[in-house]
Amino acid sequence: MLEAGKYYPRDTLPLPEIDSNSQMYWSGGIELDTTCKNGIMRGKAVGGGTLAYQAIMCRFDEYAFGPWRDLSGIQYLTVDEMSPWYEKAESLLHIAPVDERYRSECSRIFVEGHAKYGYQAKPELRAQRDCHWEEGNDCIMCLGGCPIDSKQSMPHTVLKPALKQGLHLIPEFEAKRLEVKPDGVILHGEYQQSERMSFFGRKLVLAGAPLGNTKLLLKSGFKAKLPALGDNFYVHTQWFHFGMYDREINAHKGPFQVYGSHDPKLRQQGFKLENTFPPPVGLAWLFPGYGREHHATMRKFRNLSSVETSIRGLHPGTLRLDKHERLIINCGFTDDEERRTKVAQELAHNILYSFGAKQVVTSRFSICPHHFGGLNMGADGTRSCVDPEFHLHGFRNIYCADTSAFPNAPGMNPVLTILALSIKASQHILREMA
Amino acid sequence: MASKHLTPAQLRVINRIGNILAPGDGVLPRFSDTGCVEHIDRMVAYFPPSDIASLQLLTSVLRFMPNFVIRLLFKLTSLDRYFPGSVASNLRRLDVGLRGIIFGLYYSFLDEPDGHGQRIKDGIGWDAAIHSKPEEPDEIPGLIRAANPLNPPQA
Repeated sequence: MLEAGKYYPRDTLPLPEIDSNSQMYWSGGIELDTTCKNGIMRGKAVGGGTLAYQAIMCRFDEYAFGPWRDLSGIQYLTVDEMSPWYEKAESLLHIAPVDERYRSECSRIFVEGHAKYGYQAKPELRAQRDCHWEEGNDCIMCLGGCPIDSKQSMPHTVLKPALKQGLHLIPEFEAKRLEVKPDGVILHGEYQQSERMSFFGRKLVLAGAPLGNTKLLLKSGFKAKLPALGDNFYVHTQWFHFGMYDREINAHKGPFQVYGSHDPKLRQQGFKLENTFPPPVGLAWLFPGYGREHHATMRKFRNLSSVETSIRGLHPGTLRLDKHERLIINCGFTDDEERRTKVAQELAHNILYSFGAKQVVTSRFSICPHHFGGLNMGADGTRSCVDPEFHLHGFRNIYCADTSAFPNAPGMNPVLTILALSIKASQHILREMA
Repeated sequence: MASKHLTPAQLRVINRIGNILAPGDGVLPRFSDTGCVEHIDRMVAYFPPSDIASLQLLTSVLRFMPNFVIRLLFKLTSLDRYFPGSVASNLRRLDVGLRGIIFGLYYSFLDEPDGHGQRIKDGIGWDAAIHSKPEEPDEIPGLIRAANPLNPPQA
């Protein structure tokens, strides 16, 4: 296993936000799309984004799988056929909702606000255990990695047993180019930003997510054989809406992201509301304004509540390289996404106002921790990159089952499905290796 | 002031930009008074080379601009929606980048518990914490060390 990032043990996590943002994400924190409205976040560490996220677990529904089947022509992408793979994935994690006793004022506004406007919000199923909220722990601290190993991130779930079974893991190796040989694959790259190295393998599993996988394959000249490479790129754009109250809300205290909208009406409209709140650097960066006005906002930090809207991108964007081999990220947003962003924003504002907010403000930018495609799955090799058995079309030794293979944006949190598809892919690989 | 990536003159520009974005209000200190610009390499060292070059160029140009021009620039960034596509996206890029640097340094509470970091922390009322200790010893660092064939064998 080759990983570009470092491993961060729990007692030396880079916890000040300046360090966690810089060290645990590519490009020092975010990568901007061509409009510079959307900041793509992608983890760079052993465990990747699962150190920061890996929290909300959900099985995809027909609103996700239906369009996947239509786009890919892959018939096993159904709620029923994926169910056994979800079961296997769920067995690897401790998943439970947060006890309602620890519901904060921010959560109350979120849940009761949904009800007031005729929508349902439900507790999210979260991959965590022994968070000890009774001791006053605040999960917002775990956005840069969990110092008490409560979060079920990849190193603590699937990596540990693999290491015990003899997995070799080389952190700080950045893959630069891929070369296909008759009997396997050579990966060229740089170790610890200084030493050039190459590794040969009979099989290669790409797990660099949309930006990483696509960039590697584009740089390696795969576009000629995979015409769809870098097409069909999608994101969820996540906007924060902040309500300023004349009482303390303390949205930063206790458990985090406890509720989400679970409502078919919102699902049909292609957006979701989430019960989140950013830490200080994130808040200062997202909240419009500067100068004394900015200080006045920050000094009322404890009086802020937020609702996050996550908009499902339904129109494909692209990933391309410029002449310096830097990625050009086009999120593919159209008037339809803009319209749905406004509808979601209006609901979020109404919820916050209806519980006494004196002012409601939307973030200056959106963040995109969920990104999909670039190597979309499909039966047709002219319109997709990954076949139904997870090989790259025409390359029997190269596999991919991460979010870069997703046919489009599901509009739901993807982690459990990444795990389920990966387990399914591993069965194919094992059979072929045998 | 010392940085591997920016000259002292360029750091002074960062302080000037910081004082526009975070001028202080009696409770919260002025950006340049905190000395947090000293920590800028903790962030810049992880930027792509092209972003570092852009920051160097920008701070070199702004060095010769009076503060009202920098203020005007930020005013323009907040009016991005009135500009055509590429101008608007460049204004946003500037805003994203400079806000990220200034607020990243300012709100990371870098010299707590005794210095300005604590003053900022108290000023905004930030008291999030993890009070518990891990329940089990951490096996993973040892496993990861042993799993890397490039590591020298341990005695």
